[in-house]
Formats: sequence, structure tokens, C-alpha cells
Amino acid sequence: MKKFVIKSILYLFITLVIANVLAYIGLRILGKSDFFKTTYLVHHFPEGQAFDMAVFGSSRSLAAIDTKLIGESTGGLAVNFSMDYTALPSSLLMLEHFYAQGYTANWVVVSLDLPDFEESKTTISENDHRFLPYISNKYIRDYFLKYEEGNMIKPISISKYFPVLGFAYYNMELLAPAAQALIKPTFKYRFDELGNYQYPDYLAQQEMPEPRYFKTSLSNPVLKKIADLTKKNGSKLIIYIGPYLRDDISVNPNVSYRVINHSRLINEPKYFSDYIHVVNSGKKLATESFIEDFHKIDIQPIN
Amino acid sequence: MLFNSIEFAIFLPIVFILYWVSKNHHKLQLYIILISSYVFYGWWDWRFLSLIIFSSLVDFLIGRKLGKTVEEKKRKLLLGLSLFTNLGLLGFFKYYNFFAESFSEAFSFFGKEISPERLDIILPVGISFYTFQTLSYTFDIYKKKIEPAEDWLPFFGFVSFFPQLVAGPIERASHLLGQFQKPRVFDYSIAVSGLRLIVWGLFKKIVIADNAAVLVDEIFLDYMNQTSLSLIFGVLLFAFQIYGDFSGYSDIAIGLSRIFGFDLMLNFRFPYLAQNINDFWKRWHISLSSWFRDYVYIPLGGSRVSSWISFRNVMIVFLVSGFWHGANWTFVFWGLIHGLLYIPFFFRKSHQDLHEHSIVRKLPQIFLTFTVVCLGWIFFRADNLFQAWNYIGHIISNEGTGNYIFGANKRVIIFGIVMLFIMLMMFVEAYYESKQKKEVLLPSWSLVLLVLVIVFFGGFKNHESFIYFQF
Repeated sequence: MKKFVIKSILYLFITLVIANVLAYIGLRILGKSDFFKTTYLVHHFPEGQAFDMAVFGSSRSLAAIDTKLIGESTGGLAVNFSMDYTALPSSLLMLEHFYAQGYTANWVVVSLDLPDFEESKTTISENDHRFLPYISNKYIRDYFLKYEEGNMIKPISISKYFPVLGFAYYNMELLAPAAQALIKPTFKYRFDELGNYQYPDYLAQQEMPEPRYFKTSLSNPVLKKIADLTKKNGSKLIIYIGPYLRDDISVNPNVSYRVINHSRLINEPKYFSDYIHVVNSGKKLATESFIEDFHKIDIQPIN
Repeated sequence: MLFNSIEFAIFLPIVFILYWVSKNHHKLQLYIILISSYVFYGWWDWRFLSLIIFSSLVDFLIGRKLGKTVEEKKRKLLLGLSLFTNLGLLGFFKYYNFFAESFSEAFSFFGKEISPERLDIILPVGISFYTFQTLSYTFDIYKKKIEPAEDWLPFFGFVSFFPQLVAGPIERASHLLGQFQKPRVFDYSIAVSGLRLIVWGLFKKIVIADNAAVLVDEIFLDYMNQTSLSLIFGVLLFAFQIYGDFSGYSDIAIGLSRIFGFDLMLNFRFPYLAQNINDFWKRWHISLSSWFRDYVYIPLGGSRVSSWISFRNVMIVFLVSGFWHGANWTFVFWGLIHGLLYIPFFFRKSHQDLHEHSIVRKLPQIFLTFTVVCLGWIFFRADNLFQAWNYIGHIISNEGTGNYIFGANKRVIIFGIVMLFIMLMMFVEAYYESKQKKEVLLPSWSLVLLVLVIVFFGGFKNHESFIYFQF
């Protein structure tokens, strides 16, 4: 039995060492590439880059805001760091990730979606594994320790020590990107130089759904954290509510944020690929309206 | 507790060490097995442990009484009591709602509306497996094939042995109980073969079944909008999902038993290399098909009766076998299809040389058999008969325009990975079949490679419970 146990442990150890080394290499390759927004943010811009505007949010702001148009209008560098399948806590994490690189932004736009108005879900988002290459950074590890689910082991959270755990858990999301990044480190997965992605017009809807009405005071504590963070880093914060096809959002006028609420701006089916994402033609309209309202916005500090 | 869970990865070494440290104390070993089996099962739901204990106790007491009773009438009564208890539990937990709804539908058909009295019943995991195992014990004592257990501890261990408790193989007392009654000796080569089987089983479950499940679930959910090709891929992937899932579980169960010094019966022998349906049923879920053969088919007269009665017996076995899988007409129909496909080979007393080991020469038969097996899987996987027929209709009509797999890069990658490893698995199985082996025992160095494949290609994020837990 002793021989069996020793050999089993030996084989297990060898396998774990190889697996950890491979996972570490995979994460390093990804971390050095532009493949995900999280890695592109780190590598694409020079140290100390000053942005005129940085946009954070989910797929809705990715679909609605064209930073190329904004940059042309303001004459500064505007980049969209929104990531699909993410909630507000992920936007906060991306913002922390942004400041951690030593970047600054005159304006920070945080896009807000219906599920995040009053509170956010307490689990990680679908694409949060894209932060995995930087798991050794404290703010990222803290995020996963807080939000990651797991009865006995939280694979991403302890990936700092055993990278194979996080890599194995998200292997289908990480393996092919790592292979692609190895071949072409500058490849960007579904976004361009300025972080933009668009839903083609042929996906446009045909029918108008029954509208739904919501009121909010934007009481989500994550928003407060975002406001504090931007203030601390000298950025001016704008809360942006992008267009919805059926949802009419009314924001309490007494909120202490600068808000651009375009929830009912272009509510025509032809501008939407579904109820919450605009197609390319909708994006153009949404961005033009955003620019128009942005120029009107009060630049005085808000408490 | 699932074999592919962190909990089990912690549980197993602890039990293994405790078990072999007490190798000189046979009784203590049995207590360790029993307690760890109850912990293993109770991890899922402690409340249903009482069912296993009750079922074990009833059959232990009936077995002892049967051993002492000579009068045939009393012996039949005792057997009936065991049948009533075990099948009663199974019937209540597994089939009550099905019968209630079926009666209601039958009355509705004749114009009388009766609302079914559904009960909110949870199906205890593995109840079909351990019930059949304990039943075999009483049957064998009744037929005087085995002596009743004198000591409760080995018997309770036999019923609840954790490697095979929830999804088989369904063991016979004549094979397994004796192993509990004797002291066990650690055998290095057997333990190594067990470990090899465990890794191979995990590969089939985690890499093939769990990844295939992601695609299969969505294709079956949206089958109305899928193209023929997508639907065919859906069935093909399900065929390997259920095989990887169930045979993977069996391999792990057999492997685990070996490292504890037990020998479990073979449950799968490369079924997708079968050359006809008859051959398929000698390779698929062998412990269940042989159970039905021994305790249903043969008592009904087997094949030593008229052709018509033989036909009836075969059909009964297949229908009951289908029904055993679940309280749904889809499973009964699945059994019916297999029964009807089995009959011609049964009466022809096939002269095909099933010992022809050149896989290449037998490819047309293998392919044809696999195709008809896949047809049956549509019924097995569908939520109801209507959906199954519709699924087939959509394969033929090609009305849908969607293709779930090719709709996103990630799914194409998963599909490619699953297909690659299915081919690898089939190649390995064909190789072992050609060498006339009954199981895949890969060399040690390749296990490292296989574990790396599991780690980097396994469906951990989407990991699912074993399909056969629900049966």
C-alpha cells in the first residue's frame, strides 16, 4: 500500500506542477496581449496616459457609445472599457483596474443598467474571469473573494497560488484566447482600437413591445463607491442610462450624480437588436445625443 | 456527493487512509465503509438515509427468516413482503405522480375529468439501484443460491457501498456480499488498475459528457428552430453524453472499489462498437440487463417456451427496463424500440461472428447499430413523446434555420473539443476491443496526459450531476 500511495502522490504532484506551469504560461500570454478589455487596458496605452473620457459598463454601453465620435467631438482621447455580460461591481473593478495602471481621465462615464439601479447581484459576472491574468493584484483578488461563489474552494480567488484552478474552471473561455494571443498578441476580441463594438443593423427588431416604467433614486452603494473612487482620482463622473426599447426610466432629480438618461431616447424597434441593445444605426443616434447632452452638462463638482 | 467534486477529493483520501490503516481489524473496516457510505449519501440529503437503512433492515431480517423457513407458502410470503416493501418504496417515490397523472389523462380521454392528486415528492438519489440490489439478495436466498447473511454489518455495507450506491453497477449478493464477509488484502496491481479506471472514467464524464451537455441541452430546448444538421449533432452528442456520463460513473465506481479491495462487475463493454442491438445489450448497462434476465426474463420462462411466449418475455423485459429508467412514457417507448429491434436478432440466433475483432471490417454494422441506438436516444432525452416525434420530424423536414453550435465561437470550440475527444475515446476503445480486453487500462505515463486533458478541457464550469442519479 505504501508503494501505491507514494506513487499516486508522485504522479499527482508531477501532474499538478505541469498543470500549474501551463496555466501560469497561459495567463501570462493572455496578460501580455490585447485579447480582452482587461488586458488591452493594461498594454495598449503608454504609462500615465491621460484620457479625456473613459467609459465603463456592460454590453449596453458597449453597443450604445461610440468613443470615436466622442473623441472627434471633444478633441481628446475617449475609450470604451465596457465589457459584455458584466454588472456594476465589474464596472467598479474595471475602474479600479484603470486607475491602478496610473492612468487618469478627465471624465468617467459609468453606464447603468436596470438590474443595478438600487443594488447589485452579489455573485461574479459572466466575463469576470477576464481579470484572471491579474489575480495577484490585491484589488482584483479582494473582488473575487467577495463575490465568487464556491462551497469549499473559490477557484479564481486562490488562483494566485494555484493558477490551474481558475484556468481549469474557465478553460473553455481562456484556452482558445491564450492560443490566439500566442499567435497574435495584438488581436482584440470583439472591440477596436478605442474599445468599440457594434451590433449590425440586420439584427434590428420588428415589433414594439409594451413599455415598462421604472423610477429610481440610484441608491446602489456600488455607485457611491464609484463616485468616491473617481473623486479621489480627480475624474468627473457621469452616470449614463443608455436607450431601452421598452423601459422608461425616471431618475429622481435630487440624486447627487450627473446623469444622462437616454432610456427613452430612440425607442424604435429598428434601432434595437433586442430590448436592451442598440444596433449600429441606433448607436450613432445614441452617441450623437450623448455628445449633445455632454456638452450641456454642468461641470461644477457634485457632492 | 459527486465523484467529480472538491468534497469527494477530500473525502476519498481520508476514507482510504482510515480504511487501510485498520486492515487488521475487519469489523472496524466494515464500520468505516458503512459510515463513510452514509456520509457520502447523506451529503446529498440526510433524510433519505432512513430509506436505505430501512430497506437494508427489512431485507436482512427477511433474508434470515427465509433461510430458516422451509414451508414454501411461508417462503413465498416472505419474498412477497420483500417485494412489497422495496417496490412499494420505489413505486411511491418514483412513480406515484406518474400513475396519478396517467390515470387522470386516461379518464380525461373517456370524457371524465379527474384532477391528478400530485404529491410534492423528491426522488431519493439511487433508489432504483439499491432497491434492485437488495431485491436480488432476497431472490437469491429464496432460490437457495446463497445463504442469508448472519451478521448485519457486512450486509448493510453491501447495500450502501458508496462507490456504487447511487448509480451502480447493480451488484448481486452472490458476487459482492461475500467480499464484505471476508478480510480484504491490499493488492498493488489491482489498486493501480482501479486508479487507471478512475482517471479514464473522469475523462469520459468531465471532458466528453459535461462539455457535450452544454450543447445538447440548448439544442433540445430550441429544437423547433434548429436545422437538421444541428438536430443530428444534438442526438449524436447526447449519445456520447449519456455514454460518457454513465459508463464514466461505472468506471469510477469499479476503480474506487478496487482500491478498497473489492471487485465489482463490468457494467459497460464498449457498447458503441456493438454490431447489432443484441450485441449492444450485452455491452450496455450489463448489470441491469443481466438483473432483468435473471429475475424477470428467466422466471417468466425465458426462451425455453414457445416463440410467442419468448417474444412476450423479451418485450416485457425491455418495457420494464425502460420504465425502470424513469416515470415517463418516453422511457417506456425507448424500451419498446429496443425490444422491437432486439427481437429479430433474438429469433435469428445470430450467426454473425461477434468475435470478429477487426473493427474496420465491421464498421458498417457498427455504424448502423449506432444509428438506431441514436434514434432511441431521442426518446430517452425528450421531455415527452410529442417532443420526441417532433424532434424526428424536424430532422426530416429541415424546417429550422438556427444552428446552435455554429452560432458562437465558444460553442464551435466546445464542439470541436468534444468531437476530438470522442474520436480519441472511440479509437482507444476500438484498440482495446481488438485486443479482446474488456476495459481501458492506459499506461501510467498517459494518465498524466489524461489528467492534463481533464484539467484543461474538462467542463468544470458547467459540471453536471450524473444523469443516472435521477433513475
